[in-house]
Amino acid sequence: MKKELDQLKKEFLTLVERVSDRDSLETLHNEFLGRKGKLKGAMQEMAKLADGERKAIGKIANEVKEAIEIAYGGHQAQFNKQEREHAMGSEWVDVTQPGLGENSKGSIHPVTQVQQDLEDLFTSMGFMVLDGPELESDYYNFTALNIPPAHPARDMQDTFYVEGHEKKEGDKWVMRTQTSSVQVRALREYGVPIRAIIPGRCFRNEATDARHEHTFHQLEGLVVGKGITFADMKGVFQAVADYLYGKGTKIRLMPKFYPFVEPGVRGELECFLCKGKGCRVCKQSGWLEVMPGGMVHPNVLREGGIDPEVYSGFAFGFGLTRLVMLKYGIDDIRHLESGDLRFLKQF
Amino acid sequence: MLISKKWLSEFVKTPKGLSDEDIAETVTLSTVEVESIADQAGALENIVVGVIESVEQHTNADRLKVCKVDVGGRVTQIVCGGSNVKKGMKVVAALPGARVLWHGEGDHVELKKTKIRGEESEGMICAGIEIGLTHTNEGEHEILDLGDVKAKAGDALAGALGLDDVIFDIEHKSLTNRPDLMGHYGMAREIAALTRSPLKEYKPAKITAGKGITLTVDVEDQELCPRYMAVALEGIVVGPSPEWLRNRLNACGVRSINNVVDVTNFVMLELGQPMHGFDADVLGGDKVKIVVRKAKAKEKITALDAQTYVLDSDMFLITDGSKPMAIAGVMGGEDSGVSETTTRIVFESANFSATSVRKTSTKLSLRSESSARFEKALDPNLCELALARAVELMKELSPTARVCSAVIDEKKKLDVAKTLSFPSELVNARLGSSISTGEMEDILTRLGFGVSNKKEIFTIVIPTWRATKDISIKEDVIEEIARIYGYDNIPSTLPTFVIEPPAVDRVAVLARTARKVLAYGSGASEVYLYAFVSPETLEALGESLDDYLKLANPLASDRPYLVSSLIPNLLEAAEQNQRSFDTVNLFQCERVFRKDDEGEEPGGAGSGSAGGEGKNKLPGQPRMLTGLYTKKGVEEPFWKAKEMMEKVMVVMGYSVELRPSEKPSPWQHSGRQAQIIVSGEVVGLVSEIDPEKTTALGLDNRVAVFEINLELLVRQDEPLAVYKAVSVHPSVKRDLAFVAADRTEFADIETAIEKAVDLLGSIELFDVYRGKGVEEGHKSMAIHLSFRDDDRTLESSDVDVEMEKIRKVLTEQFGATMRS
Repeated sequence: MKKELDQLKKEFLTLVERVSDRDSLETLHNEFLGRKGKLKGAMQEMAKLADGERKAIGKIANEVKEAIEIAYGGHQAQFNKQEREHAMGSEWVDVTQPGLGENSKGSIHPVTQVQQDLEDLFTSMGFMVLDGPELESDYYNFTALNIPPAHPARDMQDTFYVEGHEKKEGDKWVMRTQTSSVQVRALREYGVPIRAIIPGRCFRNEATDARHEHTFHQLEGLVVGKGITFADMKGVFQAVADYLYGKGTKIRLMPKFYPFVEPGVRGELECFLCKGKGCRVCKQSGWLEVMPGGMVHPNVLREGGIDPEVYSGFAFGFGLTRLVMLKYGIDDIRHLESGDLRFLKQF
Repeated sequence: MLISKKWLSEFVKTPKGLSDEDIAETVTLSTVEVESIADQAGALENIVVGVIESVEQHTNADRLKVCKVDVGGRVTQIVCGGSNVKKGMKVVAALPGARVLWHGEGDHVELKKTKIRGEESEGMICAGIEIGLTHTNEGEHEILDLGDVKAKAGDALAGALGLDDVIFDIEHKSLTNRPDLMGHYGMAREIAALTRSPLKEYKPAKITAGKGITLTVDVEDQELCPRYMAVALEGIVVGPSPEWLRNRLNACGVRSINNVVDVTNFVMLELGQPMHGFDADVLGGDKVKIVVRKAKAKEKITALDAQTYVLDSDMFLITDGSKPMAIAGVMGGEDSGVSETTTRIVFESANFSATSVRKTSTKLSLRSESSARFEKALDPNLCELALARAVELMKELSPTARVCSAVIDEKKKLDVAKTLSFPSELVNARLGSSISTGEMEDILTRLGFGVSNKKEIFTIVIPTWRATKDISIKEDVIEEIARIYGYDNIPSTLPTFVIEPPAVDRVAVLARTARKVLAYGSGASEVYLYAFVSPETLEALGESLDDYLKLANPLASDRPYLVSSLIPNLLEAAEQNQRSFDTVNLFQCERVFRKDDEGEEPGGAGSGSAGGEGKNKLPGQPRMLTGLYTKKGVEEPFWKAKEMMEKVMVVMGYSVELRPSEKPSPWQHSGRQAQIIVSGEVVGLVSEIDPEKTTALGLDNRVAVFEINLELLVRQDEPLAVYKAVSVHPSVKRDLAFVAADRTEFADIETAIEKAVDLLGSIELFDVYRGKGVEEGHKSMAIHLSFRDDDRTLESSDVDVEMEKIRKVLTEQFGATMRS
């Protein structure tokens, strides 16, 4: 009896190895363990045995059954696995396929991106981010900045005037030509000490071409307090240069006249592209002129209600539009205000 | 402004080993920007004088000739298109390696030996403009004839023409506050200070008065003309200037006219003092009476540019006592100018008010080398030097010339030297530097300042040539020290500040969030569009132009109005983009300009207070967030615009309510528009555009927009989530479907149900259906309802009672019929 059982087990284990599909596995399983299966037959035989022997054989029979079930289970699991793999294989997707339908990615304007980047730098240094009217009084745009009426510096900027407010002295309205227009507003509102940047849109009445736009963006900065120095201005310029183009980017400052600063400076950055060797971007000079500024003129401080004998400070006005064009190598300034999605979707 | 190195070197001897580039860099780093250095000889390398030996017609080209040219020691063949080329002519022969401008345009091109239509050509025979000479006289399609030039074949052209100078081009705007640099002597003085080089004293021979003409000058307003010097000369022979003088003028971009005019221009270029030469016989002959006065209204003058100008009573004139002879400081009159027959002249060397000259030249749109200098405020002391120099030079050029009048000098009392006084320590305090007082004194002395230092208090005497406007406060003097010391040598530090969190502009914060949500959550692209809009677009949208602010001087007349909403230009942008994209999904976040709203105060002089009391406030300029959506085949873009708006609002933390406006604007689709309401206040709108208007604007598909006034939005309470304990008792869910009139608003139903039912947890509309099975003019709506009591688990019977209330509300208040 024991022999027969061992034989059954051996037989199953041999046959099961030859099974190649789930159906034959089931058939084989049935053949051995089914209601009319071989093991069942053997078990029936067992009933005829004496108690003691039956117990021993019964134990063996259970072991045989268990062994068969384990082997069966193992093969079954294998078939499951194969089928799952097959199914997943057939559910292949093209992972490179872009998401279909509506919510394709939009874009944020490159000027906004560069502006926000600089805002983050300056707020990390404790600067406020301010804003001001774009349609501005002649007073804040010029007079308060030490550019009285009939000052030749007014010729430096072609100005849009607003109809009905273009003639009467003291009641002229302009489209601000520079974000510096917010300097005196900020001083009056917040007093000193002050650290602020004013990013924003400016306007000049000049014909547009690939390099000129009547609408452009600047980022003004203003730092006033006790003991603020020219060296501090250099430090902040250097921090910006390091942030934008990597630590150790060289800067150099040169004199330049702006009525609202004294001394006035023209700040240049070592060309990030050629590292000062001279290239197309820097017009072979090795330098990029992007940081005009200077120490705030005492007259401007006075207009802001600040005593220039006690306080000093500096201001700067980065050309945001220019920084954006340099960063992305944009060759035509007109793209920026065009609203053309073919341009905008690249950012 | 062009500065000649040769001219400079007459006054300053720069240290050996200092190259032109070094000089340019020193000047740029410490004074004014040198834009370029032009080496005249370098630019004319490989260009020689050629003599044409023969000219033959090119067999393959009607307009070309094949020339044999003697270029010194050898004869070569050059193909030439010049219509005036002929045998024996002395010409400009640019040989291979020379850099020329084709037809005077574009970038320089390096010549190579080539074949032109089959004929060998070794270089090019040039017109003046092709080698950068601007004042040559050849006609169109002609080449430059060097017949007058003493040179033989093969001579380098630079040498032959005396073009061996180096020209520095100074950026014009950087001279705004430095009138003293608008002449060679001033520039030489600056370079001498920068390079510690000796400067030659400017010392023309003193004028000795003569007899022959009685010259008088009457200045009516000495504020407008602080100084007027004049002298008459006779025995003048008007003629061409010598070559050295012509070359000087040429180097500075000034055309030679005749010896008298050239003298005045020469002196101006040398000293920066504009001068004028009148024909004395036109002014009055033996008795010349110059009256400097204001013009009469409508008085006319024909100036040297042959234009007639109508003057007004603010303008200042030089007259002969009755008729205008010159517009003071701007331009001389045509009639009183020096002509070929002139023999007696009056030289004017005057100082005019900067403001007056500037106003006059602006009003007349007449700019000249003279006005450009006067309007920067010149040193009145220059008049005397200039006049002496002019007389000296005139005598040299026209040896028979002699002074024939007294030297007139009408002047108001010239200011005594201006001084400034401040503690020397202020310099380092402002600069953050540690410059010794000795070095400060040295720098100022080199620049011509007088310096005395008593107990560390500086008293500074400003040199007259810097005192007119440039240097007036101590900060100006600090700048002088800083720039000469070198901005590069000042250390770099960071300001120290009290730690304080910066004030936050909530609008900017919201705008930043909104941009991200729209771009990366809704697939919209941010656009920047002009603040200006065309009347056509506004009118197409049914807007009244009277409601808009307008530019007084728009760049182009097509966009004179200021936008009061971002929508019109967004529609234009959508129209542009629909050609390339089926879906156009845009947004802009920017200010608009509201004519009738009050904005910021305009400010006023001095006080430091808000100022500007009683003045018109500036117009309101709220920052708007505006989005637009249109897609081919989408007939109800309203939903997408609404979804975009809601997404933004959710992320910004505001809950919104939409209600149709009772008075939509003419451009709105009256049936598909709503106001955005936050905490009871209208902060914006969502709307489709009236399809008729979009068609008029050339848009192919339906368009929807939303607009949020961020300034109004931030006035609402800062959004804050409200926590309620999570109920431990389960909620019971029921659905309900009913039919109601088409125009029934869901928000009303929601409010009514919320009001009527106590145990309502939430209500959600999940289906709206019109069409088959639903009566015309009606719609079927289906809602999910959930009920809850925080204190107990609800029984089915409790919910039945609530459902009955809801049905009652729906039937009685909304005339709805239940579907289930």
